[in-house]
Amino acid sequence: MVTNILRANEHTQEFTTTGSVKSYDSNQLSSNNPIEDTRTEAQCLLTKGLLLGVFDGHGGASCAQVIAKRLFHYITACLLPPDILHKYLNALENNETMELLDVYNDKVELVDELKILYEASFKTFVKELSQIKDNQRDFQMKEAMEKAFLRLDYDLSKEALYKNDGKVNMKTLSVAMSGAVACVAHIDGPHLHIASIGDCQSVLGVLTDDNTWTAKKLTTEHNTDNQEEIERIFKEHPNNERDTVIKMERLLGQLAPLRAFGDFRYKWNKSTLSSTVLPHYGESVIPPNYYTPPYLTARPEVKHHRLTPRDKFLVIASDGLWDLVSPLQVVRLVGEHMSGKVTLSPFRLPRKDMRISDINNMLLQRKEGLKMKPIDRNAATHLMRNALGGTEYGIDHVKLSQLLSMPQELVRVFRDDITITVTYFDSEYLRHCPP
Amino acid sequence: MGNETVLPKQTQVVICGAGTVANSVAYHLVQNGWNDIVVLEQKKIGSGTSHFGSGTLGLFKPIADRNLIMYSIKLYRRLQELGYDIGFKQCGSVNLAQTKDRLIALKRQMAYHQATGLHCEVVGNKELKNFHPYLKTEDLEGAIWVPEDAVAKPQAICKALAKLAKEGGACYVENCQVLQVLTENSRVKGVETNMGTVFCEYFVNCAGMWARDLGLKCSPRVRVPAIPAEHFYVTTSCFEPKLDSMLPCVRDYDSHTYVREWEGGFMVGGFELEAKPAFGGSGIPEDWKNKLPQDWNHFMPLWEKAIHRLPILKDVHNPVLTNSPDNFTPDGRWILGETPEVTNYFVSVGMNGNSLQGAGGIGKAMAEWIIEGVPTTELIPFSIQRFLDLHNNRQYLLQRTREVVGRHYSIMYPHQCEYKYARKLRCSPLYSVLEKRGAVFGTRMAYERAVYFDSTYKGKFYGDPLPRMPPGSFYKPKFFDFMREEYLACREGVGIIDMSSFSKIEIKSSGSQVVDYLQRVCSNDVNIPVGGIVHTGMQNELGGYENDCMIVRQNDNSFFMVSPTNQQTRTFEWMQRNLPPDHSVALTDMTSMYTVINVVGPKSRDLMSELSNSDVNLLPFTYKKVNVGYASDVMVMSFTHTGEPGYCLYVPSEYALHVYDRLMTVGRDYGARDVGCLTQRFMRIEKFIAFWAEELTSLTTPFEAGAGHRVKLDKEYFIGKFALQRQKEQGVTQRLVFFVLEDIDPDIHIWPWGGEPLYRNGEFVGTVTSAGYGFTLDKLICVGYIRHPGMTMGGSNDRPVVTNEFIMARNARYEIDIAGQRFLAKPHIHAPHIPHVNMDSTSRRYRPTVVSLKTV
Repeated sequence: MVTNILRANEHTQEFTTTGSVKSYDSNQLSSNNPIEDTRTEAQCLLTKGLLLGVFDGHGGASCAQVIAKRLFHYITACLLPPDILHKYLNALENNETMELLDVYNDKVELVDELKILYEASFKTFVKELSQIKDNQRDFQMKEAMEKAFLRLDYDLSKEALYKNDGKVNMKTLSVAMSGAVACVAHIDGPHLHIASIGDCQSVLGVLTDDNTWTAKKLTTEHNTDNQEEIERIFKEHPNNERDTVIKMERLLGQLAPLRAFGDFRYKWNKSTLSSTVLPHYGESVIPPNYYTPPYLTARPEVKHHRLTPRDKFLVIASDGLWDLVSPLQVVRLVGEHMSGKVTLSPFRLPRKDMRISDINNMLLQRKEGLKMKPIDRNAATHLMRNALGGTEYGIDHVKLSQLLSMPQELVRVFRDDITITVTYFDSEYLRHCPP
Repeated sequence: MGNETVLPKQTQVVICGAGTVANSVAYHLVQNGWNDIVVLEQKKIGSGTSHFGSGTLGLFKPIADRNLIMYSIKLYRRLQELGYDIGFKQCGSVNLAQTKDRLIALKRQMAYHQATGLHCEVVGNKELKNFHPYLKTEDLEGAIWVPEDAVAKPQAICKALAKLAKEGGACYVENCQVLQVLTENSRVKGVETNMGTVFCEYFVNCAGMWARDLGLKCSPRVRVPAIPAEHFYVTTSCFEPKLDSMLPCVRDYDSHTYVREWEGGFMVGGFELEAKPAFGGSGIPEDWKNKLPQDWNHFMPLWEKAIHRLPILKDVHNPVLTNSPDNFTPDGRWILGETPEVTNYFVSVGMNGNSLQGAGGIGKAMAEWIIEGVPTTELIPFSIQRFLDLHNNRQYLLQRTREVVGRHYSIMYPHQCEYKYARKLRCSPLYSVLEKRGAVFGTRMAYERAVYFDSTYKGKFYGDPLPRMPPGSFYKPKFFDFMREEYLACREGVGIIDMSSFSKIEIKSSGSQVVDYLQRVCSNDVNIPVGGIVHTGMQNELGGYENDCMIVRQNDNSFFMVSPTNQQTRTFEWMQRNLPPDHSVALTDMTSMYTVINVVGPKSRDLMSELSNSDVNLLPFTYKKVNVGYASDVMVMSFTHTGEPGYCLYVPSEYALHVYDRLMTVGRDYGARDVGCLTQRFMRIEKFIAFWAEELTSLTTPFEAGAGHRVKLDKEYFIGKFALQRQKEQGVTQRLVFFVLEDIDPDIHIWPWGGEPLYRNGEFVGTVTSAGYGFTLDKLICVGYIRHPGMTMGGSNDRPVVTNEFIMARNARYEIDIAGQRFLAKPHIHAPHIPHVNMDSTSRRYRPTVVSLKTV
């Protein structure tokens, strides 16, 4: 039962083509109903690269769902060199199929109405992109990512405010009223870029010379623990708002993440809020001390990391995981799981003409590994099981089943939604890949 | 003048020995007006090995040899015309190929001979019969006819030259034994003999197989690494009827035999695969002529092969076997020139079984060298300065001589014909480790260097069979795939190259004298900041190269110099000769103190900074002392010998294994791989980096080699400045050019390897100096000097100037002749652009790569 709950959303994708990514494991565990976390993984088709994203929604699931569906298209479009972009635009205009992405494990379908609307917005964006002259000449990954995030956020706003026959579209408005934080990784060969807003985190599992695991954090959370973020917000607003803009460790005393998609009640100006939103959501929709919007941004922080053969895996997860375990614990758990995974595969001799003594050594090694054999093949599930049920003496099954079977109204207090993606790197590829 | 019984008290030149070579030197000295000469002979004129020998004069040799032999033939013809009965006949020769590879080898030689005016042609088996009716030809792949080859009587020429020398004023003293060559400040002063002492300015050691021992009778000792090997030939009695006296000589290389007509019968000689050092390997006995056994057992395999080739020999009765010892050298080439140990001490020995063919040309070259003070023709291949003490070691010579004799008739596959004996002499501290990692070694200056690494080698334990080089080839080497892997490591990861064999010399003084000294011998400005490195040539007065090296300034008055492996003796001698007389500057050979490791490739900086835990982001051409692993004071220099980004590590040898181990262990994550010197060679050719003894010789200048930017004419006097100044004003008469061979398919065609002639619009304009495979261009490439047609190598000033316009002229069509087939060669003044791989990973920006489009 426990195992069935844990494994319900498992997914594993292996890659056979040469590249830095060997495979990834992902999984989700809900606490909210419906779950407010979403995730997407996709292969770019026109340029090289793999995109992996974890999105953690709040105030409803709709924003996170829409972001998961749309963000990668915006990113991919920003990565296209001008000539390819033009070709793509031509294909769009002539209704030819030219796919930007191959999305894995995609189970969500948007309603047709939104689909058409979103396609139109995206087409406009592509058109505008293609009118920028020579944008490839000084291509910067940072700018490309920022442009994609901000433009999508802008489109969310535009779509919500668009009135058909003077009527507000409640669907797009609810997307704009909910919010989502995001962490997206783009991996092409040895280049890893992480773009993130809010409090999702990504951690690199690094195996050092002396065979110990270390964790390298690739994101800084945008919340009130982050002094730089607070300074940024202070700087963006007049001094007299200092006491109100961050209050009780929240933005305007309400919102925990300091950057997010959607959440336009912290972005639109007061009159827009009053005229468009207030009639449907009531007075409380305008936050207290709302003087100098916008207070919130979807501008991501972008980091570049060159993968080395010592970088073994990347964990991206929503704060539901990080509330329970530290980055180093996460890295150790996955590292341990990796060595367990090795010995789970059927035993095969790596080459002919082996000495009996060498085979014996391999078998002894396997025996050691089998002792630690994890219950789950999927590292994300392994992380969940250990995060929820881990004790000093191993998994505490009772604790785990309690946490998983709590009644809906209580569960949110003890655990948040958890979404995890573990991406494994091919060390041999990274050893020999061109610089 | 003539034979004297009394030794003069004083003379200008003493020549020791009165064999053909000695007499030729004496003759040419007197011809040039130097007649104050004493020739000392321990017995009688020509009583040594000069009265032996086949008497054949073969021109089908490397170009430097051929030029001297060509002159010998001219000289002997003149002697004949003067009325000397020397039996000179230009009967020609046929050179046989039993295998396809042999025919390629011969055709490759033929290509450069034809270009440079030696008549020779391929003949079919039928024609061959016309030239030589006794030959069995059915099993031959082909043959080359060389009509200008000749024969003569060695003894008669020996005597004739002595007579002419005497007539010119040379004084011959027989029965005179040299006891000691006297020196003062390492300069010849006189000769002490059993007949008293004669003071002299010059001493010439032409003592044949006694030359090595004579070299030791001097302080300091002079190295003459050559010892006699038994050398056999058979003569038959006169045939009935007499054989045609104009029957050409036959060289049947694959049977290791040669045959000539000899007084109506045949003479059959051999260069056997496994030879025997003469006199059982001990010294030369007093009565050596009685210690020459007729070893029919030894010669029989060759005799049987000769019978196979000339079936008529089957019926010969009582053939006479002669054992005629002669001096062989460690590399089978003559030993000529002024010794590095003693000024004005000249040597010309090491005739490798045939003193007659070289004697004429060698005599002229040596006489001119003595008179002019510098060689007047290209003699680098024969230079006595190519040796080290180890070459003169008797054990070494005994081993090496066993195979040197036979190599004269072996196929010399390029870079793939390593010696079997006398190996593992000079080894890098990394030798054993590299061996275990699959290194296949070759030697340079007896130094074992990894040619390439067999990455599939699995041996682990001592005694496991070592990786072996596959059989040689003129086509793509059979181990080429390994080289490609090595190249990729240098281009995309890290290549680790052991370069320990490079010569290293420390130069210092207490005051600033060392700077003045180096400024005088170097053509570049070496007064650089401490911590800097400069690439410079050392020029002779004519502007030609005496050395091409890197100079590192360690502190104000101490420099460190690095030059190519085969330069160790030569450089040291050149630098020593030009030292200030007040002993203020000291030179120390440090070659063995450092292990040199090149760390090459785009990931080398990341690897080195991890290993050294310090900033190795060095400016180009600077160095820094850092710790690598636990090893301290490793000099890390920011240049490589391949032209790729990377470092050159000078590691105190006791740390070598540690540093190498760290490089390889930590380097695994950076794609580190061992790289051999052949890959490195190809890479530097592709970068158009000229190399010592190939592109850079004493007869080529920086302006000609495209290294004019390294000449600083605005600094004060340096050796060669005036010549270079003139050349800069007037232009060069030859220019090094880079060629891409677009039409050659590396998988199908014979490769160029060096020595191939280059044609411009059908006219011969130059010779390939280096060739190889350009990994980045994915084409075969070569470099060579281009001159105006009709201008041969070397010399005079009134030659037409070679301009870039001439080289790159639109109507100029270049071709290379590879073993008789011509291919288009595309010229470049500068190396074709190869995108540089940046070493700095952090500044490397990401750009999306486009996937090949799948449009519907």
